[in-house]
Amino acid sequence: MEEWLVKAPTNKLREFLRGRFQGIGPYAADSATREAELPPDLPLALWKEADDALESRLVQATVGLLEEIPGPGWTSDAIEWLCFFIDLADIKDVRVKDTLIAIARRGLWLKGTDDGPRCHVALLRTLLDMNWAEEREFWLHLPEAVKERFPGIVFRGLLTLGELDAAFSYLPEGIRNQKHAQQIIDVLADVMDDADRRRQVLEQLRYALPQLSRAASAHLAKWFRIFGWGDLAASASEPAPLPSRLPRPAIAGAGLKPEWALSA
Amino acid sequence: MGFEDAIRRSGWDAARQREADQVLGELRKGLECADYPPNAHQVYENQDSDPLIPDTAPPSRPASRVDLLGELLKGKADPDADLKVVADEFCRRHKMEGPGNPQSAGRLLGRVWAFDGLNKLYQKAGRAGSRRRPGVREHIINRASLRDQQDVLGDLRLAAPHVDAMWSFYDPSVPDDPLRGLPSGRAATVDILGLGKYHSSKERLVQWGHRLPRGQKAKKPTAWDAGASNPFWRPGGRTRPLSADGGGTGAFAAADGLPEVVHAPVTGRDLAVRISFVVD
Repeated sequence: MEEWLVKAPTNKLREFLRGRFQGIGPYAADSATREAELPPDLPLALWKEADDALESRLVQATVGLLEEIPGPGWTSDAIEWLCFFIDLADIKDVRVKDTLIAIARRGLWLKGTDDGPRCHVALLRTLLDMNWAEEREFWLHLPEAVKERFPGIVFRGLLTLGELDAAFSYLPEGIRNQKHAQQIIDVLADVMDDADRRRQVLEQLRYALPQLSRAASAHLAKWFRIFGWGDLAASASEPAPLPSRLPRPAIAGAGLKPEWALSA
Repeated sequence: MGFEDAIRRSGWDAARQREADQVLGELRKGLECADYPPNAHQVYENQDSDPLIPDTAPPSRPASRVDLLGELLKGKADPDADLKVVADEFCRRHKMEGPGNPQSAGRLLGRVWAFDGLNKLYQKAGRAGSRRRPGVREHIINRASLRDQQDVLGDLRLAAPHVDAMWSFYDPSVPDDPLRGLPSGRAATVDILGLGKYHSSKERLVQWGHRLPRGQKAKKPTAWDAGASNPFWRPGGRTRPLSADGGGTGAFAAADGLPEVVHAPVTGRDLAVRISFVVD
């Protein structure tokens, strides 16, 4: 690690991180090389080597960056890299979390950025990785512009709360195409290694699948098969059930607990 | 040809030429790679000797050595300026300016990259899952067919978003599968492709083949493409095996490298040979 970086004061670190994530100026990652370094690589290496003092300066720099969004150079790409850095570094500092929560509650990145829904979702993903899940109504009442493109975030938020019924009941309303279905697969990938959870997911999808569009349910079935998660096609071909609010004994009996929290 | 000739032919007055001579010495020092024992000044020598780079300002691209010297002289006016940084930025601004490579036209191109890089791009791509967990991404590589990979990766650019150049190799003897020309195993792959940065790391690597979208052309890489800190690259349009310097697996000579090109980044839809892990 370059020495100047390890000794850099907060304002210099902020400048360095800004350059990295925005891909502008002398601190931008040189990603057009054979090995194609990505923007968060060097900041992450720095974070991993940091002593307490450097860690504190990095946290302050990160909070400073969060507070300058929306602002010049903060494209949705740059914002995603910043959020990604916070996730991968696993920054637990309460100043970062509180800043993110304030931004999320006020929907600050929904306006003034080049792609509000995408930036808001980047922020929510980071908060979910910090085990912040707000409450059911928050997810169900996300702005339509967010839900339309990113129904997976609603699903993940509800799942993280342990609101399994609500999460799967949301699928027929939220998932309308293959891209949406892929978001669900990405979310479920975090839990499918656990046999118990996998059984519960299959059980829930048995009810939800027949209510999805053909393209979405075919996509889910295909990737469940590829990943060896189970045969959804068989479930989907069964007579459609019923109202989505049916009692679900298998789930109710499973005694769902907060460990469904995807980021725990 | 070279920086000294460039200064002589620059048309600058004597005082500026002296200044440029001085800046050249600083550039050579600034581009030093202490961790490349065969030649700490390799990057400088690449920029000095690449036949694709003209000495003086050409009517068209690529940018010339005089262009770089001009930037360095300008940078020197700022007492805080770091000439290495100035050179680095210059290289970034002058990517993909080499001539076209007609030999690569119509061929499938190959790429070897860190799994972590591909994974990060996938994780970042605006979906809803946790960015910390790689589950799906490994499944996609291990279990999905080419068609399914094209389908699931879709419009995902297989390079950083702000980047306009991607490096690929090809094998002239196997036009329809660039990976077939690679030796087997991670160490030998890293060796023949001259991927020095992966040599000492244990990073998992992935490989794939892609087809350039219609209308897109591959170019021969120049020293500006190689950047200001890659001593493993050499002018001439072929990879240079690490073995040629006494590193790598020791199995290859400099002449054993594969032709390589730079081109605009491709997406998941352009995949032509499925992504797989490079395994030993």
